[in-house]
Amino acid sequence: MKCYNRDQIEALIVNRDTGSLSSHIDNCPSCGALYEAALKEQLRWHETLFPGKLPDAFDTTVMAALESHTIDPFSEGGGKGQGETDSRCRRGMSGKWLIIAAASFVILGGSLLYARPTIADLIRSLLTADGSTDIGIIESNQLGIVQNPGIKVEDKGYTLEINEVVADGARIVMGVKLTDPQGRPIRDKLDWNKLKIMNANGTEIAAMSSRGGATNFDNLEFAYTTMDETDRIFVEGNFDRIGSKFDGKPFVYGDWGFRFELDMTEINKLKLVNALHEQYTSPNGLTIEMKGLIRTPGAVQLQLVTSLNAEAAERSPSDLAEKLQLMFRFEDENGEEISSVNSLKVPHKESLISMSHYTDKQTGRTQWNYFFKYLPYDRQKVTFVLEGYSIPEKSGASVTFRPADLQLEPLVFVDQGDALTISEMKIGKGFDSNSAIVGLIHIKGKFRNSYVEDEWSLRDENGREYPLSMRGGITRGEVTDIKGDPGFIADGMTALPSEVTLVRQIIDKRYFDVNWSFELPRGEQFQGIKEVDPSDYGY
Amino acid sequence: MENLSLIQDRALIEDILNGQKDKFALLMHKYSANIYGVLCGMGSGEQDAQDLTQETFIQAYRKLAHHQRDRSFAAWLYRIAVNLLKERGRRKNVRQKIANGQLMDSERMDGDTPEKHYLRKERQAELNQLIGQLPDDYRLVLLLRYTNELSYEEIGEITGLPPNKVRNCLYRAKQGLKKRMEAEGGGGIEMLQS
Repeated sequence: MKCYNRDQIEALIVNRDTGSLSSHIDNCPSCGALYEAALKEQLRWHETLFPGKLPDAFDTTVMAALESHTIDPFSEGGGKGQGETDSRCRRGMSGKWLIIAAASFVILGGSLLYARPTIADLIRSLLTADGSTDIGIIESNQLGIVQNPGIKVEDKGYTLEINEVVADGARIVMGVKLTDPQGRPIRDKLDWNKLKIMNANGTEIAAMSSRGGATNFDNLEFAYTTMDETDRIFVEGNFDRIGSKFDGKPFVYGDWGFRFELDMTEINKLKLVNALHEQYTSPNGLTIEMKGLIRTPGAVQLQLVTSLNAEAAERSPSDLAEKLQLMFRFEDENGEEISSVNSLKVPHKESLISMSHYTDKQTGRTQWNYFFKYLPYDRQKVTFVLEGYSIPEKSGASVTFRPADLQLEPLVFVDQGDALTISEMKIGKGFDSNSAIVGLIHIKGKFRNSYVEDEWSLRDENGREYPLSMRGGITRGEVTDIKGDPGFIADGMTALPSEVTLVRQIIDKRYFDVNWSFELPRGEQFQGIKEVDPSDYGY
Repeated sequence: MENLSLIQDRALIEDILNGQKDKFALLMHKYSANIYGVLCGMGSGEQDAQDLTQETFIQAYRKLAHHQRDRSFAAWLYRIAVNLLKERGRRKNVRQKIANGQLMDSERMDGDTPEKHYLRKERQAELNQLIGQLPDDYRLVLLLRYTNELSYEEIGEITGLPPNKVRNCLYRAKQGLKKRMEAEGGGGIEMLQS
């Protein structure tokens, strides 16, 4: 399951939409740590911004004042509260028009139509500035490539509708609206694993990369999992139940299945290509060759190739090298960040849709494709700045200790900028009381390196090797903390050895000793694109 | 999954509308400090902020039957407070007030040593001064966000900004604070360090 980044986690917390996150972090310490850090941060902000205190008698005073007031009786339209006058009125009216517009439009359903912007605006899913629209969608609309599959499926009083799909060579985005028997929109109650994007051979070619939306629809974004371009894309939904295991209500079973085709023939022709020729080799043997920028209607694709010199390749064979993570940003002529990738800064701007790569095992060269929602090199000066990278490397760093000695003095294990304190080792239950007996090693410490691709093992005095998994969390930042109880878990260990050797097999090493930037060539714009203020939209 | 706080508020409102007036005190207890904090943060003096907080709850009580039960009570309440603030034109020159040390004097926390308390107050005063230099809409978004009770959409409804603009304002408010701190050679605000 795809992990969340810090911004996504914050958005889920703020929007009280942590259902899917909760189930994910049960099995993902890394996201759990991010979640915890986000909660702590918002608590710190709250404590800092709200230190003031009302007098103790305030509540009593107000309650006494309320003695002379009564609750105004409800009257339709006649008693709008101070807080909800104008906007409520607008909302009600637009909702009515929405229903009319959607109902009249789906009559056209069946055939695939390109939606006219006016209608697309009325049915108000992808194309509104309400939290789901990004600049790529806006420009796709301006180019007239929003497709309308006209899907409307009803069963058990619940109705599923899809009236807008934006698909280009970078991604597929669609708005899905689900309403209950009373016509009220409901969200996040479908199992999205049952929605498949396929080519004509029935092979899946895209996977969900993000999900958002507003109160009345889910906005799904899919990134391609293959580099093969296709002229025909098939979208198939096999939804047979509505509900969520988190809301405590029974599922509603029925048939909300559908299938439609997207014609990509013309869209695939819409490409503006700028070749790139810049190249850089880092002090530690990573070479980055820029290849090109490809502008499609809804996105910008950056293509580059990475390779390692012999020394670096020895440390990172191809199966490790393809786990390379470049850290870079684009900035404007004032040095202001436009978009960052794998940034350690919080907060940072991010417009990456997806990233794919392909490694040639013979040459060890890896081609990378980064897809961005927003990269305005067609309208302003934009500079690429490399910030660093992380790459898993063979390590073999180890420390031997007697578990019983830890009670007398904790052991500090220092390796390439990371420092771990091992304070206890025992045998016990794993993640919960129902778990099997395992070896538990309590650790605290700080990681300068990434840790994400780290591999650790434990060897007992008889030479038996136990792979280690990690329980706890690592907070984001250049220097990160490991917290949690117990830290490492040695599956299969049922008795405490008298002596063990802790081995770091793989280190996910971070390098910051880079110095490379270059200005992107000025790009062209598609005809028909009007400039919009990107700050009005998510990007 | 519906938020527990929303469910609790809805149950309280049902009870109040059914005649249990005393339960309004529970809603007030839950939200009064944050309402007061937002009003102070937007430049009202302590007494003005208290008066406006009181008026907010009186208005909310009177209009309670008109609150849409399927929507957030907190958002509705903050909207009343912000509208009252705007209507009364009580936003004064925040920078001046902060310079005079009138904004949000923090209470000493349990367990603080006098030294810790002093450092915390210094840090607070420094941050307050910088927050006061932010544009009104950035400051309001920042305050509403860290009530920790409102979604981006709800903040947007209160401020009249689209949710993405809310996120953008929030980002810029934080960046603005960070830059101002760096410009003044400041440090020590943990949230802005990373």
